[in-house]
Formats: sequence, structure tokens, C-alpha cells
Amino acid sequence: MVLLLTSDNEMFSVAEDVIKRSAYIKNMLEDVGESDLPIPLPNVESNVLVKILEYCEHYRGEPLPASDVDPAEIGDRSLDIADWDQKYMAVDQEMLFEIILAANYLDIKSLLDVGCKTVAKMMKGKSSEEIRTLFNIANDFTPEEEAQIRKENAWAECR
Amino acid sequence: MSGHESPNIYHLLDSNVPPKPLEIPIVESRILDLVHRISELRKLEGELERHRAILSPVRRIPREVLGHIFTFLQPFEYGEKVRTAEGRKELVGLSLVCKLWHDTTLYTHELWTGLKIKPRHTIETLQPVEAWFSHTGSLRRRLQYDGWHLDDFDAFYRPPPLI
Repeated sequence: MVLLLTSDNEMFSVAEDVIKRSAYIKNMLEDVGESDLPIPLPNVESNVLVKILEYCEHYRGEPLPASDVDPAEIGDRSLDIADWDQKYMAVDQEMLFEIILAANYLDIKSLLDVGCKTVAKMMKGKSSEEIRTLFNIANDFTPEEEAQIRKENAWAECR
Repeated sequence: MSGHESPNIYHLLDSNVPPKPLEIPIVESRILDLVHRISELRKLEGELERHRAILSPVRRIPREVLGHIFTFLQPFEYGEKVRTAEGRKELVGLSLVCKLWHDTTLYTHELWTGLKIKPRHTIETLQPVEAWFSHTGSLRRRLQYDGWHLDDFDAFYRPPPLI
């Protein structure tokens, strides 16, 4: 078992083959070897780790992604999401981004991809203004800056 | 006279009795007062949204992860990763959301690697095409032009072979 200590000081005891889906933890276990000391996760709160472990538990036993994949290699970019993953990602926006942040920190590539696809699907077909409203993003362009970007890219929209 | 200090007109609110002539200016004043208060509340609502935006979780997403999200909006055509006018419009739309998103599109090389233009695009189009491909970093570029394509932009400058 592996002990994990979250940012809000909650301790989790997790089976090694479950948490090894995290390349970060897997590498740490390989580097440090067996230890009774908990692995601190200062960037992950307990409620988010519960959700992350749910994902790792579901995919327990599935092959881990190859570690020698070139990050520059362009992989699957379809927006298709498996049924279970869709249900798993049916959370509020706050939790969705927390999962993405935790998946990025823990280096769980498949979970990061599912999270990013979920956000991409939410954005698909929306205008800049609609995206700002969706994610509560402030428009920090001056009208002149916005006009300049539109001018520079006017050709790009030419059919 | 403020609406709060005006004589009681509540009996008119819960009935269908017409106001007496002396009551009409009181009601009008009360209406103006309420309109003003609603306008003030709307301003506060705007401020509330601006403050909520500060805590928006999307703000904490690092640029490389944001760029990764954008790559899932990369259009494919017959298995090729190329941007037609629609795909280009989508990319420009992303870059117009805010400054961070604009920078993120520029630094995410993968978003700029494929381009499809039509014969109506003339030689004047080539300069922006060059600027477009300048965002690809060291990634392989692909230009489709009315059926034929070039897999690397450098080749674009070479004259076509004479047959």
C-alpha cells in the first residue's frame, strides 16, 4: 500500500497498482523504493483525490500508457469520450478543472486527456463571448487590441 | 421627496383603486426611486460577476494545459489535420477570448501546422500564410491548395518542376 497525504492533511492508503496510473507517483516509488512515509500531495485536496482514485480504481488492471511516447507526437484528437468517462466527468466546473489540474500534477495522461476533451466539447462551436460567459473570463483586451487581432486575421476567415 | 418619506400609498398597491390626483406624483416619485435602485443593483451585479471571475477555476489552468485543450478543437479532414476557413475562424475565436488565451494559441505550435487554402487565395495571401506557419515551431507543416499539398513550407518557395 502507498500512503498519500493531501494538501488538507488527509491521509489515504492506496493499492500500489491503483496509484501507479500516476506517472508521478510511479516514478517516485521507483526512485525512493519502499517507504512507510506518506507521499505529500500539496497540490491536491482530499475531495479531488477521492475523485482521482475513483478513476484509477476503475482502470485498475488496464495497461499503463507507454512512457516513451514523444510528447510532440500528435495522438488521438477526436472529441469522442467513453461512456464511463463521460459519466465520471459529469461534475461541476470547479471540480472539472480541479481534476484536470490534479491529473496534470500527478501525470495521469489518459485522465488529463479526458478532462481536456470535456472542456473542449463545452467550447466547441461557441463564440469568444460565449466562452467568456461559460468560464467567467474577463475580456482584458482594449477595443484597439481586439480590432488589431481581427484585422491581422481577417484573411484567415476568407473562404 | 424620497419614496421612503412619502405618505403611505400601500393601500393602492393591493387594490385596483385609482390614485387620487395628489397621490400620482408620490407614486411617480416612488417609481423613479425604484428604477434608480434597480440600476444601482445592476451595477453591483456586474461587480459581483467581476469578483466571481477572479475565483474562476479556469484561471488556475496552466498555459500548456490550456493549449492541450485547444488541440482537441483541431479540425480533421479525411484524416488530415488542416484548417479550412471554418477551422481558422475557430482558432481566431479562441485567441480573442482574452490575452492569456491569445498567447496560448500562439505558443501551441500544433494548432498552426495544417492549412488549406483555395485557388481564389492569391499571391497576396502568401504573406499571412507565412506568418501563420511561423507559429509552428519545429513541427512539420502541411499546406493544401486546391487538391495538391506541400508537406513542408520551405518547399512552398521552390518553383514547381517544369514538365
